[in-house]
Amino acid sequence: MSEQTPPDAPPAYTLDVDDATNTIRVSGTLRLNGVAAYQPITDTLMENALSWPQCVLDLSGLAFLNSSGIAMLSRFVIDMRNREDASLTIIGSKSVVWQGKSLRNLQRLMPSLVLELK
Amino acid sequence: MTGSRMDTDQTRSGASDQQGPPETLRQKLSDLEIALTTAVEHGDIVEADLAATNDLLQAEIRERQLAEGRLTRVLMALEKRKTDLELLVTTLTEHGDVMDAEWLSRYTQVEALSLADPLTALGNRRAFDKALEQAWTDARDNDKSLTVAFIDLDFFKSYNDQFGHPAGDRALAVLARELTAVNGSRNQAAYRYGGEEFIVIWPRISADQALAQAESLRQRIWDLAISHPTTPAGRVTISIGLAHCGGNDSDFKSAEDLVAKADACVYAAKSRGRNQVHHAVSAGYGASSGSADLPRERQVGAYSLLHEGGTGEGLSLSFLPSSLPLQRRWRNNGLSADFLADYVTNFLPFEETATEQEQLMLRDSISFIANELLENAMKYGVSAPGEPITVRLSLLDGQLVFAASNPATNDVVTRLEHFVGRLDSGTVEDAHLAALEAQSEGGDDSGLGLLTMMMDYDAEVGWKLQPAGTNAHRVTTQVRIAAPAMIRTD
Repeated sequence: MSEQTPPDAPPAYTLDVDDATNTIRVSGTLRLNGVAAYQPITDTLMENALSWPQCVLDLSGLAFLNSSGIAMLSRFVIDMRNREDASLTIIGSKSVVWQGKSLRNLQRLMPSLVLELK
Repeated sequence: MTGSRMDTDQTRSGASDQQGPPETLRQKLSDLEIALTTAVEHGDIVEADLAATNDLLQAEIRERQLAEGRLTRVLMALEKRKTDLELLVTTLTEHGDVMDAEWLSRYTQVEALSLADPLTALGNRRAFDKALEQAWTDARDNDKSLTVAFIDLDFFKSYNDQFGHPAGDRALAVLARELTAVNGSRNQAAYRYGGEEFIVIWPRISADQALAQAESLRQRIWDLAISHPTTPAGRVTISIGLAHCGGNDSDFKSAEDLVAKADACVYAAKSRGRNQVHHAVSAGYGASSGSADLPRERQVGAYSLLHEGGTGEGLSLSFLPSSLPLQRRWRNNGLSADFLADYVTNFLPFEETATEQEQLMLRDSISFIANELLENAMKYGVSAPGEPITVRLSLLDGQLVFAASNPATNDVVTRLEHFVGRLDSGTVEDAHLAALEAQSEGGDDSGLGLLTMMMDYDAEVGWKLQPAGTNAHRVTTQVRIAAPAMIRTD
């Protein structure tokens, strides 16, 4: 489990990796400055997702994600789609305004993606 | 090929027709054979060449088919990438729109919160500053009136101390609710200025309307009868200071002037005993509470009348109840009862050593007593609605003497009649204590404010029963304030 709290982006975000359930949980507010700043997160996602038979990405606690963040997430989904044996489930929340539309768009990038909006 | 066949035919034709020497024929035959061989070989070469060309073409076709296959796969990959990119752009755009809307919503909420008082939901000081600037600009540009009124909860600290801050917060919320109810119009807005102080902006209404609204608010709070037993009124009351700018000809040259005047007025309202409206009007009545600009001859005449109080009527001014449903509003030729205080104070012979603050306090006291007399005259039936009340003032034996009467019946009364018995057997201090006790027991608090004022000014009260046959409850009452040392009595 890792936790990151960028000093210039309060309130902080949290990224939890749960090997037992093959789940990565991202919560809080993600507004890193530019796509490059998201590289450590991308690496964490890919590293774990590829080592699991099935990956669950739980974003239901992610209240805010800026444009660089959604770009990072889109690339991650495309990468997962391009690996024929990859399986991805994304959990979102209906109460978080941005997730309804943006996560459905991710599903269009990867039709096999399972989207659960709670 | 066609040429060779023709040559052969010609040769055969020539051999049968001419019958030449054999050598010639052999030569021709040889030529023909050579020609034939040449033709055949040429055909073989051409055929081989065609075959080679065909092979090359077939190879090229296969190569191109392979290239086309590769190109198709590249195109498909590019098409996929294009679709991905289009989806990515759509996702980013829509995500950006959603987040933008979310930020705007939060910004709007935060902006609203930054201008609102969380306890009362009224505008806060920041909102007031913005609104005042707008209202002042509108009034100045269009030569319209503008009123600002300070509202202060009386004895709020002791209320908090006695009942706790939650109760104090509820009292503030109640006042805010009443303020909103009185305002009514969208253009009239109330703000929490700080602590127990509120302020309202009333644009484009007359001074009469502003005073009526202020008085209505004071009365509403009074009528709520929220218990506050340690105060003279025994309930929660408010003091209001109102400044009205009638237009560009007024004395107020800036919004800050107007607010400062309203602030001074609420201070005056408090120093006069609280639970009242004190106002300053400029370019409205032609008079302001601070200093009435009276013609000199009227001042001299009034001064003479005051000094003739011992032998004559003193200074008498008749007041008619205003058409407004407010007992505290009395008018005399367009002047309020409050104006009487200005009128008198303006020509009182003050000693040179009298400070402005002392003069202001005396003026407020006179205004307070005049109002008390007028109210009680109405309350106790000396004057019916529509009948005039005369307030008489005189300087008598070094005392300022006040009396209110109905000129038709000559009845004179103040609420002090309730304390005749108490005063008969004791001092003003005793009567004051008795009034406080009566109030704490839920009894009538009439006269308490006046008694307090009398104590402050070391005043005396004189009375006598009306002649036999009149109502025994009516007494001729005079309030005599020992002229402070600041007034010359020579």
